[in-house]
Amino acid sequence: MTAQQATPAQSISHLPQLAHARNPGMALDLDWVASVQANTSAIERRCASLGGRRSVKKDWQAAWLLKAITLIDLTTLSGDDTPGRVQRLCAKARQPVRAEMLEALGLPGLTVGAVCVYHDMVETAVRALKGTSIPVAAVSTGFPAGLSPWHLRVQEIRESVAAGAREIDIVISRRHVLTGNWQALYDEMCEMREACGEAHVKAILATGELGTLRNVARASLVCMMAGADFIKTSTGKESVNATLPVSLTMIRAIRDYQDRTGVKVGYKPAGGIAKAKDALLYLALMKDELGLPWLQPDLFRFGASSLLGDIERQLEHHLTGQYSAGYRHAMG
Amino acid sequence: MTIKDIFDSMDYGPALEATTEARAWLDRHGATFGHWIDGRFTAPEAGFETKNPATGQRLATISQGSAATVDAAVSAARRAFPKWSKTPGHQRARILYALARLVQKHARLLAVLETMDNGKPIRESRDIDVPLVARHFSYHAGLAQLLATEQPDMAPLGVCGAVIPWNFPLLMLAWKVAPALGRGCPKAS
Repeated sequence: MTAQQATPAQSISHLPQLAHARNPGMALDLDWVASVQANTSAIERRCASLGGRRSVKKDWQAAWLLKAITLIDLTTLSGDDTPGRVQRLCAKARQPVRAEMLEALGLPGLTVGAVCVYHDMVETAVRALKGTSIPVAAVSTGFPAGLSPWHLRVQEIRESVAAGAREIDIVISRRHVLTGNWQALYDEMCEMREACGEAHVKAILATGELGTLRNVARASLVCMMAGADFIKTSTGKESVNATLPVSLTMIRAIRDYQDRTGVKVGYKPAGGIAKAKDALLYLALMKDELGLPWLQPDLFRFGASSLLGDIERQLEHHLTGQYSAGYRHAMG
Repeated sequence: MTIKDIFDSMDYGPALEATTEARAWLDRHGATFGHWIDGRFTAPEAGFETKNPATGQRLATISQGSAATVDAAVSAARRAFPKWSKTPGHQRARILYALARLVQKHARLLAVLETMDNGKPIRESRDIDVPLVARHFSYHAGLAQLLATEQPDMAPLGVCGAVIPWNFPLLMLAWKVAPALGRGCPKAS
């Protein structure tokens, strides 16, 4: 599967459906869930040493940063979002880095992976991205807390899909994890997947609110069993969002699921990834643990916004040897 | 490889701690070393090979020191003693700080060489040994400036000999050389 080609209109590789079979889900296996453990200190130690063990420089760093751009779900999820802001974000999604820089790097026509907005902005985003193949992802089901009436949560999914969202980021009910009610988590995830229809579903676990890495691992597994296409760390609104230890835990769950079922589920860390350096660490983690397929938009996304500006700054340094001021990399 | 190639393959590229630089450095010295006495390398004598324990590859031939070598080193140090012991603390500090800075400047080369020669993991030599070497020189540079007021009754006695073990070659050298030089004692080690 190759990544984005010369013109955005030709680039279709990031449509999840086309790369590999969707996760069909399976029956809830409570024995498997109960057997899942997480060795917290080993996980933390492995993550702490990652930066020193995997360092990517020069041309390799430039290439990896360009790849990171294609994996970004460019996001705006603020109460004061306006159609104008969403349109500017979509313009940035189409042209994430200055055209002459992309020419110099040999990858003209590069775009981001997707644009991620609230339901009310889906239509605006779809219109603004017309002519590209950049999908619109909608956060849904009472994002971020996920505590509104159940039937409205499900209906929200249907309305966002009808408005043109091709990906839906749902939030799980954290209380099911905290009370160990895996059946309830499985049931709600199944129903949400069904409401998505052809749209792909990312299950946001809100890992910062789940307490332990063992809970994170178990919740990951249950959501995958219930048919999640992606598992996602966080809404970005919790006090602790994506971290390397949580990522390693979820990635190992993805590997376990693939080992047993042959099915590939995608991964999305979201919130707190603002620096290009962090993006490189996550890519190294994915490469080490899951391999090249998980460095493509159909199996990996960064939930980020300001990350793009920092990546552009690093690419400019690669090309010119100088660091530019932050205002030259506005978000739109 | 073009950037597009790397974009597709997502190769890591060469590791920062690849042995290329270290091997080039060894080649520039003909992979043969004498002893550092009196401010220069002596001509290489009959020696023994040192190998990379991980690969068995020969790294260099190192001169086997004899009693005569030790005598020469101690004599050179004794000749240096009058001047060095009277060098003011601040001046000794400048030299030790310079040594610390040079260790930092060449940290990667030193760490890779240490790993190639000794066999300890790069994570130890790069993250622990070599930074500690620099810190020891800095520390004793700082101390050298305080000795005149803190320990006015102490005086440099003479040349120190030091024996370095196998397990922390560069670090144990630093542990012994830095304090001795800091206190005005020339070193034969």
